[in-house]
Amino acid sequence: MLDVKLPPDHIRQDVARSPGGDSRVFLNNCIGCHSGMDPMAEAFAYYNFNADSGRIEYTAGQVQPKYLINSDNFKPGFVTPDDGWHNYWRQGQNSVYGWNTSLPGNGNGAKSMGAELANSDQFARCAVEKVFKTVCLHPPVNSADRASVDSTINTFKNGGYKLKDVFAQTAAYCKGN
Amino acid sequence: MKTLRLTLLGAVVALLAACSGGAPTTTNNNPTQTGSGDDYAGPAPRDADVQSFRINFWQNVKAVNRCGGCHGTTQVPMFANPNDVNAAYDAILPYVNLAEPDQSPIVAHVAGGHNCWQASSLACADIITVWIKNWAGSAASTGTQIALVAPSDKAVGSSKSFPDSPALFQSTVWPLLRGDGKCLRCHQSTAADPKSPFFASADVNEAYAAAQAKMNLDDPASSRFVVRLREESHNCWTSSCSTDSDKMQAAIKAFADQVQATPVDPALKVSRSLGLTDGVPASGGNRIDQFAIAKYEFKTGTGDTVYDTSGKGAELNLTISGAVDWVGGYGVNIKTGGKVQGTVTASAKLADDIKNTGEYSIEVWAAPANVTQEDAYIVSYSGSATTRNVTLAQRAYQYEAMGRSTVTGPNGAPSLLTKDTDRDAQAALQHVVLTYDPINGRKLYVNGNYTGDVDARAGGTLAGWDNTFALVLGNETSNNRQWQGVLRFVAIHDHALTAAQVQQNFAAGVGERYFLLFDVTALIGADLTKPHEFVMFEASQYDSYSYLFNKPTFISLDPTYKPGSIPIQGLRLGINGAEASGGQAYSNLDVTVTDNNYSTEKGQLLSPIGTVIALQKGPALDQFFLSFDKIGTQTHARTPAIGVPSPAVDLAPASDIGVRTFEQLNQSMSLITGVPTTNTLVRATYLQVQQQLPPVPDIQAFLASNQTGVAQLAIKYCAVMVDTASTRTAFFPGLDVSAAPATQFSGSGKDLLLVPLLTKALQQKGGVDLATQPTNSEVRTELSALIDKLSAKAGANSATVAKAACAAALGSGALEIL
Repeated sequence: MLDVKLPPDHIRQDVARSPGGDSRVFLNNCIGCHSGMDPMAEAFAYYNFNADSGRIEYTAGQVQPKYLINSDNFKPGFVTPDDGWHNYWRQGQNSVYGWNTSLPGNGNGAKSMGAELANSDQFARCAVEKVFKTVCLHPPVNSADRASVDSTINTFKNGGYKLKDVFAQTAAYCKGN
Repeated sequence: MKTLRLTLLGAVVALLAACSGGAPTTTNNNPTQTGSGDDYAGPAPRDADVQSFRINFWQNVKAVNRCGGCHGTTQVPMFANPNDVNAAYDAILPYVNLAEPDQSPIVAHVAGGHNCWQASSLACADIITVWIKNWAGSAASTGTQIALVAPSDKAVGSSKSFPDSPALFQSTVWPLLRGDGKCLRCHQSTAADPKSPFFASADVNEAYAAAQAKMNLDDPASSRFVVRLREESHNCWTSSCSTDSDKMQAAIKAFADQVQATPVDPALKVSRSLGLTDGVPASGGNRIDQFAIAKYEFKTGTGDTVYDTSGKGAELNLTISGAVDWVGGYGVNIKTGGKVQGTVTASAKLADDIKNTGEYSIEVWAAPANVTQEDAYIVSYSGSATTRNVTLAQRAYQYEAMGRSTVTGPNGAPSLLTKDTDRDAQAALQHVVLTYDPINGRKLYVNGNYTGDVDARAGGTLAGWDNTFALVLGNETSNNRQWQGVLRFVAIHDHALTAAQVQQNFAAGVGERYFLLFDVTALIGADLTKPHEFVMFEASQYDSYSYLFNKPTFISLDPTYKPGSIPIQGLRLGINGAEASGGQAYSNLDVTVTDNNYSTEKGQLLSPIGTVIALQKGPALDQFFLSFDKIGTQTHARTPAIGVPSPAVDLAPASDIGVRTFEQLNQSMSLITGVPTTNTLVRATYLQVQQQLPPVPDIQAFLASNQTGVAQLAIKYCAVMVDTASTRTAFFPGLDVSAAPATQFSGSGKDLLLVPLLTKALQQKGGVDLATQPTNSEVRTELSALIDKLSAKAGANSATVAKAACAAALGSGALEIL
């Protein structure tokens, strides 16, 4: 996922650009995830978990204070204005994750952002490979394993994303004798 | 020339004049007495401004070992004339700028090397600036106007760029990354624990794409690959990181030597070029410094002396010792074993002045190296770890103030700590101020804001302050309170700064900033015969490794200019002939400069955000430019960058089997024996051995201690099952626990135990064997031998034998292995 070449224009103010006085850390590490992560995180700008009530709170039209903390860490950083999100990973090395071209790659709120993730090829692959590792007790290691995973991904995507079917198909492959 | 009004306009007219000549720089002794004025017998100051000049400037410069030696009575301009302060006043006016004291010709002349009485010309220039500021008083602090001047015209130069083909990389650096360097153990997608970026990938194209950001062809020594080894000792492959980094540097140099410096991509739509110091100094920040009795701006950049530029009394210069590095953009980086300390004699002015006022402030711009260090003293005026006047310290996420007064101990205890949950201390550059006055006691401000932590020991006086202590930065005088981090500014004031003054000093910022004017006149097709049009950035060296570019603004130096409608899209920062590899925060920019949004005075802000880009050759050499995807009618089409899928590679063969984890074992044993998991006896044993049971299904993580735990749990389930009539009858239907085992289990009698165990615990119904566990007959043989052995023992009973056989089967690999 680490891509240090994406534009950092949505990295918030609380992310230090020179942690401990060394901006190389930011330019070679922090930026690699924050540049893509922070534009996506804006989808949850109106959500907050209230630890006292044990509930998630939603404040329509009002960005939660946690998005604005430690603003002096880098004053020229991004200030979250609303819950509009952008998927920068559609460009650069993370475009290999197979983002759905019928979706716009941006939107407002958690629902559309969730749809963006769920409709990617990588989401299906991630789910199937996790099931594979759970059921088969090891990751896909050879061409036969990878073929099974690819087949199961097709079943998963074309069958309405039913995880039960993924377990069944994977178990059938790994059942041994 | 155009003025950019930042705050309020100053009321004093700047008098600019050139100053020339002068002797080479020599180091004079500090004057022991800068002149109190008591010995002055000349004509009285003719007005208030001359009086202000006299007490703030003239008395400081008239000593013979400062300016008075020459500019007193022998050499013009005689601004240090000891006999006539009015004549001295008239003589200095052409050489000072009271509206912008740091822009005064006399300051520039001294900074350029003219007879500084310190070893650093910059230090003298800063001190003279302070004296002029104090003379100007409110005239210098009411506002600042910045004169925007077009920089000299420079085309974008050439530098080395990465070739499209990975061939050179493949023959120079790549073999080291995958060979001796052993980077492939982590930095490839097929590694056991892969770490991005995959610059050691078996696919050279993937490796080359990932490695480019880690190599500097213009300066191989500053390549990230080299720095990680040389300075950070990151996984060196021999016992000498120095040798390894040399080898890496040589490989990158071999690559770079075969790359010809190429001019900037002619397809790019680029602005004209300029360096950082070609910009207009943004001296807009007005600090409150009139109470500073010691001030450190760390401008020298070399040597082992940090100069006090407060201009008050004898200088309290500090000496660097141990692991302290100068930081680009002004500052020092204090590491383990480092500190910066003054002498007791020079430090005495702090106690003397502060005892007079009964108030003080300690102000720092600091970037803590981490938020885990405790008892870490940032600034301390003390004698040892147990006696002090005052100390500002860091305690993990908290700042701490220890201040001695008549209501605290000699060590400043109890200290004032910021609230832990506020996490005021961050590993980022922060403005921290500690103030003390007798009414409020100690108060801490972080980034201009009062932390809200109230001093429980307010009141008292500073009568107990000791003038035999020393000022030290980054440690205690006794060297056992190390603080690690970067200090970019430190000041000691003999007044408690007010909240507004703290806020003003925070707003003034730290370090030197410039307005960089990138000429785009030709790009937008404007009239080149008139004053030009620019995209202006506020820029500064952010730390030793990067530049900060902030608030791009479109502006014209032609006051009559009307932009009409100029679209600007995809702005990128370039450095040394190529676009910067990272930090391109304006590449998504899409804005139109219009008459409505453009103002003659302020231009039009293109983006409110800032970004940092990597420093390459240093602020004196790096040349910047801008490129645009679209500006006006000029466009540059880019091919969107896309990722290259990693080729599928077989991993090492993995085990097909795993082990049941703790909760699976518990449930399985309960199901087999019929004893509920809630049974108090098995529950107690389970809780006792729970953390000893396998936590994960990975068979490679299975340990001998896991097996011991499994055996304990199996024995308990079997014991409860056999001791309880209902479960025993259900599991072993024909078993008579009162019968002698030698009789009951002789010959085929063993089937009373073996058949239920084989069918229920091992699931080998009908004698069908599984390839991955022992055969039916093998298990039967083992259990039979166990039953015979136990039955033959004196005093054996059938219940014990049954429990043992049950535990042997239940706690075996047949149940554990998935």
